[in-house]
Amino acid sequence: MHLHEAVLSNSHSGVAVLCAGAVAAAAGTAIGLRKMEHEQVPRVALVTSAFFVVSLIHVPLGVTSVHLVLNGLVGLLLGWSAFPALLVALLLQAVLFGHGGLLALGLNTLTMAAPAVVCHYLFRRAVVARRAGLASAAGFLAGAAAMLLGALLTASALWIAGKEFELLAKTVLGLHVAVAAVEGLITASVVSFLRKVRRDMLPASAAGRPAHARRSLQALLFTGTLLAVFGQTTAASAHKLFVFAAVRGDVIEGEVYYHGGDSAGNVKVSVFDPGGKLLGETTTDPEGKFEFQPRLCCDHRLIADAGLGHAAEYTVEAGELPAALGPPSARTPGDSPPDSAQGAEPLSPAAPARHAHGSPALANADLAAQTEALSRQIAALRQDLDRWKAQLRLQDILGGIGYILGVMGLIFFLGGKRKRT
Amino acid sequence: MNDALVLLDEVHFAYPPNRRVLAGCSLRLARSDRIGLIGSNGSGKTTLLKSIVGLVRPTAGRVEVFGRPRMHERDFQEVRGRVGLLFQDSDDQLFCPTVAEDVAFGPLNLGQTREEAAGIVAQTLQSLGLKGYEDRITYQLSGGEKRLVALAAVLAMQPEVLLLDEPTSGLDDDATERVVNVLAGLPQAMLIVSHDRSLLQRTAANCLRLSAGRLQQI
Amino acid sequence: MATAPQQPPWLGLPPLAVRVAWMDTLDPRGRMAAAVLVSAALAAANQLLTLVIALLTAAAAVRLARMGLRTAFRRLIPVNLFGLVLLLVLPLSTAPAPWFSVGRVGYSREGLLLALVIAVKANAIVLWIMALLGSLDTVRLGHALQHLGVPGKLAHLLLFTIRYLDVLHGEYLRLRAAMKLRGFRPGVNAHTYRTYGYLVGMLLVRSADRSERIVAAMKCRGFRGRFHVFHRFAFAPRDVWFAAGIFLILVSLELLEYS
Repeated sequence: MHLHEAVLSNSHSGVAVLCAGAVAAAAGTAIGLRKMEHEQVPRVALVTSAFFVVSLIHVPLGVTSVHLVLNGLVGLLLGWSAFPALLVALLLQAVLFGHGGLLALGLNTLTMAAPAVVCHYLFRRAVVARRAGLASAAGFLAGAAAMLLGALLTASALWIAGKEFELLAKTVLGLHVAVAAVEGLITASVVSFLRKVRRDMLPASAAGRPAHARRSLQALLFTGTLLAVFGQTTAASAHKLFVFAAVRGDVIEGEVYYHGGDSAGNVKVSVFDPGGKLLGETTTDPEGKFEFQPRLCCDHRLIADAGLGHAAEYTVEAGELPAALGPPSARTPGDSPPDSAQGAEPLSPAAPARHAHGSPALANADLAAQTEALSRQIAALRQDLDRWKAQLRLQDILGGIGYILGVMGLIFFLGGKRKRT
Repeated sequence: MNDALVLLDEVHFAYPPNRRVLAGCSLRLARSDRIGLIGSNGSGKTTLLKSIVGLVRPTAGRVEVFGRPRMHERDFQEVRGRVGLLFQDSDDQLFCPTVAEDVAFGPLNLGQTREEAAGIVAQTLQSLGLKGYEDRITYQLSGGEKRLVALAAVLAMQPEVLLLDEPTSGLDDDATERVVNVLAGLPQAMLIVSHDRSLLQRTAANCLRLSAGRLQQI
Repeated sequence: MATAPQQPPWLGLPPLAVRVAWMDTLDPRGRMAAAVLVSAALAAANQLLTLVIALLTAAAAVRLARMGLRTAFRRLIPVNLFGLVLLLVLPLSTAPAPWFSVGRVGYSREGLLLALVIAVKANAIVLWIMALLGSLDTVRLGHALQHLGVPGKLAHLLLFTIRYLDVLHGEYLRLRAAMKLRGFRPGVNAHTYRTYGYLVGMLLVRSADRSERIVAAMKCRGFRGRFHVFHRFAFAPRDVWFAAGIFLILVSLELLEYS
């Protein structure tokens, strides 16, 4: 499935996905090129050419027709060279047909070539097995699995890019299930054809059990790392919802936002008391801010629900609330006397009335103002801290890239060591 | 006796598992010889040519090129620049995108600089009547043009011997005429495989027939 | 050096640019670099106004490159099919305060806006790429990439692939014609899938055979494991003007975006 960069470039996480995809694809291509001798370039090129022509074939499926991808077959035939081969094919498709964009090339290569390599190592033995039935079954599985894995990767990319793409991601996944069956059937047919006509095109039986096992493990490890880092770099908790609230005057003011800092508008916020009784509800404005007027002095549990299973919670403790509210709960030493210092704004028109109990009003008002100012600053600080924790930073991306390069280096080092002995 | 450029002595070759193609072929090609080779399809003519440049190794017999026996890959590396092989299918031979790149491929591999190679390209194309073809795209050429460009690509390496596998197959009359004229004017020693009797009459001095794996004079 | 665009009716596509346009006199490396920069700049733009203006400039560029607008729009069909899917799906998945509802299903304004932004952006990018690279024949594209720092083996892989696309496409067409002549009609059944499998298999086998012959031909001409680059490019003053023009357009777009 070719994604165009226009789909993903609207949010920071989307751009991060594009970059991470590009880096991972570059790593895979580097490995593929390294394993390809100069003399093998014509063979890989001709196979790539053949697959490009094949991708023009439309196979009927129900009322519509779908064009063939066959990345599982590419993987079976080419192994790691599937990365450079599919990169070239996708580049040509982008430039000649406008399928997918230039900037999304890396991501699209990753979603097609990584499953190809996985299927190579999973099924290479089975397709050259003695029993034809087993080989055909393996061919079917290779074709279908490669397609499904590719769809899974594309869907993950969309999902990570933003909550708004979740439904699209699920749709993409669903659409590919039917196609996967067709791909599997055709791959099985090609495998049985090649077994009869030119068996040497299929991967030769591996050098020996230990070498094969080790190399398969290496490959799976590497691909697994690529995918894991790909997910982690782009903030796997991309859709985590956060809610923060603080007391200003006599209202609870709060904000709801997503990991990465995007504000969450039109989200329902429900307020519960410690016993679970609903105290009230409100909705955030387009910038994610909301207000709630507390009437009881107790812990207020705020639950923000953005739908689709995203929810967040925050508790405003009773101690933060203005004291002159309803049935008081256990008084903590820090509480100010109930009839003064209600945290009312000095400018509030009701303030003079509340100070009518005869306490040294001015001194208390002063104290109240200072406490108010202090709590405002602390609230702002805490909010900043919270937001900062949730931000996706450049360091995260660079760290992820560092992981990929490090694992690559390790694999090359180990591989080189083997050659030297 | 050792002025033979190419000498095949009782060469045997069989494709696995058991398809015997050459069963004791002997051939001698001297400096100004032009020998035609005919035989039915599948008789092994192409295999014979391949054995001279080391693309296949005989199962028995001796291959001597330029006075030295050739048995290993490194023996043949020196041969390949000096013995030019023109393939039957030009699309297999013209694997570079443009004509200039393809003709320059050989000289560049022989160690020439880019400027020297460019000079050779211009010269070779001119001598074959292909002036101005440098920037043409190979896959867009007609059958006859492809054949001539492939020939240019082989000649650019300035070989001493030419092995030609069906040089006029698939060409129309005009193209055939052009190729025949070109071949007739070349100085190299040649071994020409062809079904085309008129071509052989005009270019080859004598002919051999390959049948049942052996060569016979006609 | 101005040569007519050498992309014939190819793979079933009509040629994009028929007359020699000034675009073809430019260095393809510059065109390729411009294509990437324009894609990046447009990808970074998220305001609808900027994108609409980008789309208009793209259409202008396509006309300037002497391309048929109708064929250009035909090429936009796949992008817009996806855009249609987006339009239907995206608004469903955003916040629970719908703009309007169809039955029990709510469509949100933010979702529609997002789908629109994406659709306009995608169209603008594809049109720009078509204007910049559409009349560039694949061979020169390969050469340009070779000289833009693409690693040697990869560049040659690209050039070889390009070289044989047409040949393999021809073989595919012949195989298809042969199938049709024997009464093959595609349907949703095992016979169809098996036949397509044989078609693909045959193509692969032929391509593998051909690749072996190519390696033999390469060896015959002294190939020893290293590919040499023969083609050269040279910058001309008009390339500098072109670069300046593109730069100006991009800067204006970004200024518009962030104002």
